[in-house]
Amino acid sequence: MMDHVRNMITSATSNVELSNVELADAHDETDGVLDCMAEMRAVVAEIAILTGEVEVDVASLYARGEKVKEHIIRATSFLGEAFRSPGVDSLGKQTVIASLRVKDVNETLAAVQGFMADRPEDYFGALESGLNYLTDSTRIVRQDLQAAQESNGHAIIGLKKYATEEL
Amino acid sequence: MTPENIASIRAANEAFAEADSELGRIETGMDDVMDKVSRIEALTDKVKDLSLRAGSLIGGSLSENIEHSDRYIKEALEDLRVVGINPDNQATGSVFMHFREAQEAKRRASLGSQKVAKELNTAPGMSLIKAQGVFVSRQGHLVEGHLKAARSEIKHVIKAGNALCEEDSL
Repeated sequence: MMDHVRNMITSATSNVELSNVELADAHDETDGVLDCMAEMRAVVAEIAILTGEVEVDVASLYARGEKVKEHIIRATSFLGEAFRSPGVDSLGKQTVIASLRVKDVNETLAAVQGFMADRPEDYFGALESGLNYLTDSTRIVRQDLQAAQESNGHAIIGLKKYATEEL
Repeated sequence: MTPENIASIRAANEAFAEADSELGRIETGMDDVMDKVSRIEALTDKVKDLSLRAGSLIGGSLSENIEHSDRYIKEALEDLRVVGINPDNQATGSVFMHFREAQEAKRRASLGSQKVAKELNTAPGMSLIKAQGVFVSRQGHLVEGHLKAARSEIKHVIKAGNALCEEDSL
């Protein structure tokens, strides 16, 4: 009878040990999760930098577009002086078409500029905070898994002690 | 045409040429923007992949490990139960207390991991960046088209202006 009890305690102990192997595996999985999150943070930071650069680039392209418009206006004013000469009227028409195309360029750039700016304030900061929160939550999961392993470890010690001292 | 008019057309052509050079700089700058946008798009895909990978680790493999761990504890408790070892035994009471602590910690870990997995499976915040990338990319192609058209028109104007001046000087 005593042997049967001892055997069952040994079996129970092995089961708790196996349970802890599973918890150790789960604990290892959190390493992978935390690695992914660290990489995500780095990638999001890169996206934030690139997005900022695109915003600046588009703004400067738009400013260049405005300069183009000024050149066209200047050219038109020069042509205005020559308008009375024969043949120059068709040049005037072509100038209008060219300035319309330039207007298309600038309007599209303005739309891009507007869309890029249409983001909640501190958008990337909020993204980073979200990732930090998820990282912290994963670390808590990891601590809980560790705590479970430790408690199981204490149970194993208790069972072994009972088997050797009480039986 | 008077020499003044010819001079005006030449001055206009110079201004057109400057406009064309500026448009050329915009074209180069736009290429750079498009390159950055495609890098942003690739990076948002990477965040999405990482998020899904992390989500599947914490919501899949890790949850399975916790479930298996529970199953082993259930078996351990059954082993103990069949030989009459239960929480009421004074000598083994602390063992059961440790089991309860472990189960409680696992329950917290399980709930926490589900919450994290849920957040990760939605690839946090990338949809707006993705949408911006798609928009800028589309509009960027439009800008490129408009630039080509504008430069071509300006070149026509310059050519026509030059022709007028030449005709007149002949």
